[in-house]
Amino acid sequence: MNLSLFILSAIIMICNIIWIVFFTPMVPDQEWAQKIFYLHVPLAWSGFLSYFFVMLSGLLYLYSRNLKYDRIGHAAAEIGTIFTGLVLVTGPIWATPIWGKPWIWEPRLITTLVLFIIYAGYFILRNIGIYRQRVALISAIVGIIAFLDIPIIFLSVEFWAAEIQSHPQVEMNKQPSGILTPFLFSLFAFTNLMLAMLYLKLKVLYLEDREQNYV
Amino acid sequence: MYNYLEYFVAAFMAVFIVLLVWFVLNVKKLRNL
Repeated sequence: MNLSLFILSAIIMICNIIWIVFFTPMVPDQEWAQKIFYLHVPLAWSGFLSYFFVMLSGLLYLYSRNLKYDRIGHAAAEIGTIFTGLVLVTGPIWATPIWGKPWIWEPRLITTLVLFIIYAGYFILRNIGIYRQRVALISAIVGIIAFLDIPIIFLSVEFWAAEIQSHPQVEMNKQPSGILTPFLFSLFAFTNLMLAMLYLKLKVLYLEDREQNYV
Repeated sequence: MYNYLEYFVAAFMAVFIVLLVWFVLNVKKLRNL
């Protein structure tokens, strides 16, 4: 069953890649650069969903003090951070030809970078060498507080200097179905991949905790 | 003719190499546990 989950995720992702590369329309002016959005936005969405799981599992840990929720939070934070890191890499790759420079110090980019740095701090906290339950407690609190940045990221485009740039959040809704349908499929494929990664990481963390007699 | 193809390839490779390395490392860990 586990293996079939990963095979299914892989098949969906391969179909997604084929669709993006061969069957999505070329947008005038941006051409291939526009296709980066089929990776960039789903990565951002899946990363933020991961962070939502971190926040949720943090709350559940504070309520129950069950290490199971700490493992869920840890796994989701790792995946969220990888995805957010990739958002911060693919964004500048797209911006280099389109804006003429890879990075602009504007609200959404800054708030996303802050989110990435907060979660980098989260992993430093997890490795400071205090006992397991203490790590879980601090991580849960940090995970909940860090999540507050995500609504700020979403609203940043409207709050501050909306005229600076067009963000996919606004642009994607206006696209014709030739772009919208593969975009939605890509969202589905990356969410699916994120869940498969979460499942795998949870298994690794469970076995690590069992080896150290925490389970 | 292929405008900005190199940027797409760069983004594509960055994403899938990172994800592949993550999978390899975690499957390795899983096997050792």
